[in-house]
Amino acid sequence: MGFHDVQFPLDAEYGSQGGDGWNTGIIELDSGTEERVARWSNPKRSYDVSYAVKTRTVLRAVLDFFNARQGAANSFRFRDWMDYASTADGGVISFGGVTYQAAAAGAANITNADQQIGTGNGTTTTFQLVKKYTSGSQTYTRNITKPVSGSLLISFDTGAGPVNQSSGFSVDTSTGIVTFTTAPANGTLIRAGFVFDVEARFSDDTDKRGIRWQFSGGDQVGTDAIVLVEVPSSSFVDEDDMPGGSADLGVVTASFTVNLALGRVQRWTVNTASLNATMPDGNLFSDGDRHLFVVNDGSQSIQVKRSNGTNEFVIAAGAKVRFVLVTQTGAATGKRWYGF
Amino acid sequence: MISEAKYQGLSREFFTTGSQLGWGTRVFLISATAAGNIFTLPDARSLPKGYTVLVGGVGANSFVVKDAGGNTLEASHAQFTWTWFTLFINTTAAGTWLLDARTRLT
Repeated sequence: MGFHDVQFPLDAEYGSQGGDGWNTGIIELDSGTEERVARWSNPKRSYDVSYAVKTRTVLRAVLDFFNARQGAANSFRFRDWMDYASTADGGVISFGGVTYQAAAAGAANITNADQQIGTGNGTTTTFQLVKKYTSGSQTYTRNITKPVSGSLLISFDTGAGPVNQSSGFSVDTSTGIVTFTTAPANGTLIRAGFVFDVEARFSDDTDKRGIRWQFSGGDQVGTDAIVLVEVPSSSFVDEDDMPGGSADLGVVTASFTVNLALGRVQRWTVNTASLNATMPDGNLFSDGDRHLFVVNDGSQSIQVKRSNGTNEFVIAAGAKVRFVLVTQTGAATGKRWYGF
Repeated sequence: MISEAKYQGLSREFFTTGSQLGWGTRVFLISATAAGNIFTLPDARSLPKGYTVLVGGVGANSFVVKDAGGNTLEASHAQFTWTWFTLFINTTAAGTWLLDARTRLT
């Protein structure tokens, strides 16, 4: 089934309860230490909207919405009122003749310079909307795939500050990809401000059980939990193909020990000759495929070694390598990392 | 805890005679006792679409790889060659397998 480009009833979103969840696999080793693996590259959000369904009018709207979506079969737009704008907090936002205020009074409104979505190179015309979340020295970048129509603001910065762009671009509100009619010039910082929704569906449980309501007399109603879950965008790493998310190690300037917990898809930019990448002890893992996929985007090759220092194979500059762990008999008996 | 299946990390088997490969294993290092030994992939109906099997020749003798319907997929799988078999259609015992031959890095 697909995505219905319709908004979950806003009346039923106020008062909703929700949050972001991750999926961290924790392997406890015999020694008592542990290895943690981030299976998802992005959090998955879930919400319970039953707190907002207190009147027959709202309940009727939610029931109609639920059946029109065929339960969990089709996804839709949901406004996460804790995180719906390109600013840290949404402030008061007016567009399309409607004013929204979910944040505290005085919170900053969106501007055309909230989020940098890319840098021009004179040829690229499409850029994905993103929002960055920073704490300490770590930043998580989220692809925004369901911007709200009419909310997008764009600015170009060539070094003298943001200059608003009132035309010359469009946005696909089903993907969050901004397309410019003329490619931004080389070095131009492209920034954006926007309001966005989460693509969500009804949970499996709500799908099967239905929305269980209780009539309390007059206009008063109540319901059991009505749970919505986020539908991951295609930017998620395919869990069946490569569990564990992805990591970009950037430019590698020294030999290092490979950390699978960073992600099972890794990009190494090896620009220094004669470096080694030492794999973790194979005895900590089961034999099999799909342990790691590495892209070497650098100009130099790198030697992959076993944990005991034995050479395994070389990853050439520009190569993409899939790691398979096998138990080998005969010569070089033991756990071996094979590269393909 | 991370389940084994999540990593597709099931142990390999080491064959010395022709036989049908078990579905629970994803990586097969095969050493045929005689040239032309036949190794048969699992019944496709018992497997999900997208299921992958890696077959590697580690012995001196080449061997034949067939699907469970008896169709030859590789007439001569030689030593030091590696092929991924990915199940595309699983409605029959033979199924449809996509082959992806690779060279192991050294």
